[in-house]
Amino acid sequence: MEPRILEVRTKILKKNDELARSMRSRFQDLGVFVSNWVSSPGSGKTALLEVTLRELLHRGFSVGAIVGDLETDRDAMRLARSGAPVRQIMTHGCCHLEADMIERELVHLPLATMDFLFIENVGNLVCPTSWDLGESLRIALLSVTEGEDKPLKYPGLFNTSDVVLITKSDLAAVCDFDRQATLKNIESIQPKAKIFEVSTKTGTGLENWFDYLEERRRIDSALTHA
Amino acid sequence: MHELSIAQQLIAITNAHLPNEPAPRVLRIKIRLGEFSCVHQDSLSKAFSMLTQGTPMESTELVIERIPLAVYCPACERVSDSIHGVQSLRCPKCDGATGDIRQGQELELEWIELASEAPDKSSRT
Repeated sequence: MEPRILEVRTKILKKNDELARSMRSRFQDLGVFVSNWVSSPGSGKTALLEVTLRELLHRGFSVGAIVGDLETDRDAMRLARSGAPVRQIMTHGCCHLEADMIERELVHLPLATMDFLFIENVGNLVCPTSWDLGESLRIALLSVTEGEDKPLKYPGLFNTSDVVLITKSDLAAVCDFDRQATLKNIESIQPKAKIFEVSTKTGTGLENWFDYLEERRRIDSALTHA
Repeated sequence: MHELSIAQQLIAITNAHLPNEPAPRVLRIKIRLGEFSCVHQDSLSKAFSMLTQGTPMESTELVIERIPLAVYCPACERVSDSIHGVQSLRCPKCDGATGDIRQGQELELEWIELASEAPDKSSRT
């Protein structure tokens, strides 16, 4: 007798994709604008997220955050100083967040009244790329200290990102940051990416960034409830 | 090392597809892996053999078909030929920028091959 072939033809991450899709429609129904922040460790995600939470709270929005790290709740403690509800996921070695990890945290957040939910992924430019977390906006952060060829070396993340935040712009001169090459390299991987150059330290570019987030939420919500 | 999570999913999907018969033996699993899937082939194979050690799938062969990258260029109005060794996602023909990937992100389980013979109960526990 011959061996039998079972045709399956399914995406290996189908379970994650389906959960992410259902979470995204739940977020949209509730009017929560969700973003997924991905970068290498040390790009300034937490610092920028902290000022973003503060500013949106100041503008009258209800915000919250979920932060992923291998160990410790240090980032959650930092973000909670803004006054926003924050949940820490400790992955204990897992290099990325998955949709079911996010889903488990949602019951602890006041989703029904929330306007923005920020997900700070584990610091890693490779592994988070394949996992949809139900976000409406994927944000890649690239600090000027990292070098202009990062988008070419880690094209998967930059290709799937809607926004690229070039952070620590106050250090650009010290680092001989090649701005033109960076912009060209991002364009080579994802020409549609919206790019912001910001410095959490000096405040440069932050107003534009906050305004953009507010506008994106407004557009997203108008599309959903049209 | 996200390949470990992917191998776990692969094993779970395979188990879910196994027919309802005593100890079906999986000979081979065929997957399609895009060159732009952000998954390292060797790491995935290692993760798979690590996770299946001491299980009925211990000797299952993981067959991996690599799918090259191809992009759609809006200027040329066509899908590019296969791009090997990704240096950028620009159109290989006109060098125009395009992030529009049409092939090469696959991460799919295509088929499962099962042994036909009835399992010998004395050799398996």
